[in-house]
Amino acid sequence: MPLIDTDVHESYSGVQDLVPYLSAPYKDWIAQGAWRGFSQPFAYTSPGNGNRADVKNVDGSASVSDPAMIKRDLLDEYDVTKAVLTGYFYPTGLKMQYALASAMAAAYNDMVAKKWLSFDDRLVGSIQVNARDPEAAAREIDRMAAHPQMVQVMLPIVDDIAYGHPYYRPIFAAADRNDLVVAFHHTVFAQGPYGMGQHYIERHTLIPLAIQGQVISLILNGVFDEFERLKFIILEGGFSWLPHTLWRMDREYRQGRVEVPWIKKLPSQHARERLKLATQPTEDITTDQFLKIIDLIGTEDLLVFATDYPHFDFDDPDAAIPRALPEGLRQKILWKNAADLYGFDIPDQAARVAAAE
Amino acid sequence: MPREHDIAASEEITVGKMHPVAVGRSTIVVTRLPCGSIRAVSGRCPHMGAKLQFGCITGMAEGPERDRIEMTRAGEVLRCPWHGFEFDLRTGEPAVPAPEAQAMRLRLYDAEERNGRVFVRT
Repeated sequence: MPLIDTDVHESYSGVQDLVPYLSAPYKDWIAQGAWRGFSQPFAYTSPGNGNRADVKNVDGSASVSDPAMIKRDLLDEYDVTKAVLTGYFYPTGLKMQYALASAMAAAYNDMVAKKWLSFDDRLVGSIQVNARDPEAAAREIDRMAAHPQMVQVMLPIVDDIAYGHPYYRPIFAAADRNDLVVAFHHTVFAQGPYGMGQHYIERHTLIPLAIQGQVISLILNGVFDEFERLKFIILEGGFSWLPHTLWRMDREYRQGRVEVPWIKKLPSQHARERLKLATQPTEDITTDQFLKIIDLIGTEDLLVFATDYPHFDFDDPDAAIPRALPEGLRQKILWKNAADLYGFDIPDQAARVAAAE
Repeated sequence: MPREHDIAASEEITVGKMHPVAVGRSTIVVTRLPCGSIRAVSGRCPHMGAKLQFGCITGMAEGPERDRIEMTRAGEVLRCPWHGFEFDLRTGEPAVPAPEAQAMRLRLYDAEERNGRVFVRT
């Protein structure tokens, strides 16, 4: 069966790796160590410090800065048909020096194109932007959209102004005119309603709440209505929370539509038509529970598979999606829904067999 | 066999105003649509049974773009006093599609005017 992994984190060994892709003045800044990149405001508690502990470079370092690692550990290991690179360097996290952040985004995109996308045609990429400067982000999207392996714009989950705010509209407009998907991924700075909590375990449990806030913001601020073709994917937030969020938005819409009449459809309908959620982390639920959630979501077309390689909460393609699910549903989750989302032309197994005969 | 009830003088039923009348143990809410015809609906909201006479008759909020609300079809929308659900008085249908769990349509009654009086059939 084909397999599409919608969340694979390529990286670099450090921001110094971006120096060759930067222009003045930032080239010198970074080369001279003026900024050493982001670090998380907490300590990891997993054996691999946030990554799978078995993910190691030949030199023993853990950074996934070598495409050969992804080829070895993921593409070849699981016979992945397409892997969507999502990065984990999100310049939007820089809350000042917007021009530097935008330049770093562009440098990172150029690094991904040169080092990663050219390495293996199973890899496709995400355009990183500085969302805090939406006009600059839109220009970067226009620039990078020309690359045939760039399939989406990556928006990191922020902790202040949610993405439904009109401030961000130039980014969605740029994604729309370039026929790109818009992806959202949690971050080390995303917060739950009461912050990150006191422990890593709290912070990690709160991630879906931060993501729910973004879904609510996007739909109830009319982003789905203003950009009628745009498609959205949310990564690493799981999916079991979605039925509640849809029900709640629908109830609120029935009673409060008069405030936001530019929203033309039930929020749940918007979501079912143009939102995808990556399954990871799958929360170890039973097959029956999985089927119930799909039933409650109301469509088999919404979930897409992701491993989150190389992070510690990796979902193994052979284990995470219950084998006892109906075969058609497994195929949708493991590749067909993502192929539809990104427009990948992947013949299914039956067509492959027929072609071979 | 339908029963006809003489419920009010014609001039009492006006656009934008609800006129509740007791019919047996039930209440029927009567109003006049902008086109001039009489509209009589069940007095209870199909959602959770709120007494619709305490709601309001308004228009349909339309939003051609973000942060621009245009009120259209004045007098043709009834909003429930509890949750504010909107119902199209021309058809009885909810403005937003009903949830899967329940029907969400106003019950309409036949009504007509004769000789300066309004009659409703139940």
